[in-house]
Amino acid sequence: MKNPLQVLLEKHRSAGPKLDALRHDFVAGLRQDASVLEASDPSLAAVLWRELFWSCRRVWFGLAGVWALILVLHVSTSADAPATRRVAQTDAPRLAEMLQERQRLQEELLGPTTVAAPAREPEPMRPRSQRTLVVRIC
Amino acid sequence: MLVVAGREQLPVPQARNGDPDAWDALFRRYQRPLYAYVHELVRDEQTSLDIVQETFINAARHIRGLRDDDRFGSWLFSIAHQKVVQRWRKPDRSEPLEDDHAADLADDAGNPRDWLIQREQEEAFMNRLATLPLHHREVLLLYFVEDFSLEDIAGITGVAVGTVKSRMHYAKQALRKLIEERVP
Repeated sequence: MKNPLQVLLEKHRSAGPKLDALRHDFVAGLRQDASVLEASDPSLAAVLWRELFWSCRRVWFGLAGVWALILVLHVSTSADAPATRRVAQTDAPRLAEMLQERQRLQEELLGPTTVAAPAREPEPMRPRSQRTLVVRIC
Repeated sequence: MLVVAGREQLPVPQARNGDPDAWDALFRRYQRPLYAYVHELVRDEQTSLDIVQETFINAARHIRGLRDDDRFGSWLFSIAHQKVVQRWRKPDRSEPLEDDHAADLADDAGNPRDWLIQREQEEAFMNRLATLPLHHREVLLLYFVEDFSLEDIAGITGVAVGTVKSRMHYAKQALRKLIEERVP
């Protein structure tokens, strides 16, 4: 009678020599090059790089792409803006001249359109009961 | 040469300091249980040997991150388990994972060393073990090869203790049924 562990180990007994060979190689590697163990304490920068950036690099690259696109759009639109301003500045006097010409033509055809309204004298201050209601019928 | 007599006397501090003899002793102590565990999951000799080797290389590189020396065994198996899972994630994985059962079943464990299997039943036992769903098989193997606690198994496999209990319960039921069918 055997317990499950004994049955399991018995089943894999044939792998024993290969495992021994692996162990010998591993230990021999350690004896020759102890730097395998020195690599066990990574620097903080390396840990941060791996955990914060490299683990979700697709997201970071995606964000970088979006920002690059925004930057390109921003640069291209701000490059257009001075030209627009220059056009507006050169057209401004001509526009003012055209408006003046139109106003002059309108006055010639219709006559002066603005009539000065007669100045109303302000009513003296009275009590509310003594005020008179004036209704103008035009 | 260091001699390993039990789990409590593992030369983990010496291994942490880079002592090759300590690593030799640790490798010697765990190589066969680790190989048995990995092989029963991946079912390929060369892949199993590769995983055992990679496990020890990773252990040597990261042993300074191990806080509790008494948990070296479960820590080592958790590295191996991660390696196995990485292999499963590759496209050629053929064995499906099944859903979890309800948690919080009673732990009717006993000692795995108390399970006795007759010589005539050994082959049937291994065949039955191989037909168990993957998650059930892995918890049962960890229980058999190292007598890990439920908490250790949960830590190694990365699932809740209740889930481990559930898987263990169903796996044991399946195997116990076989063992109780004694050959006359």
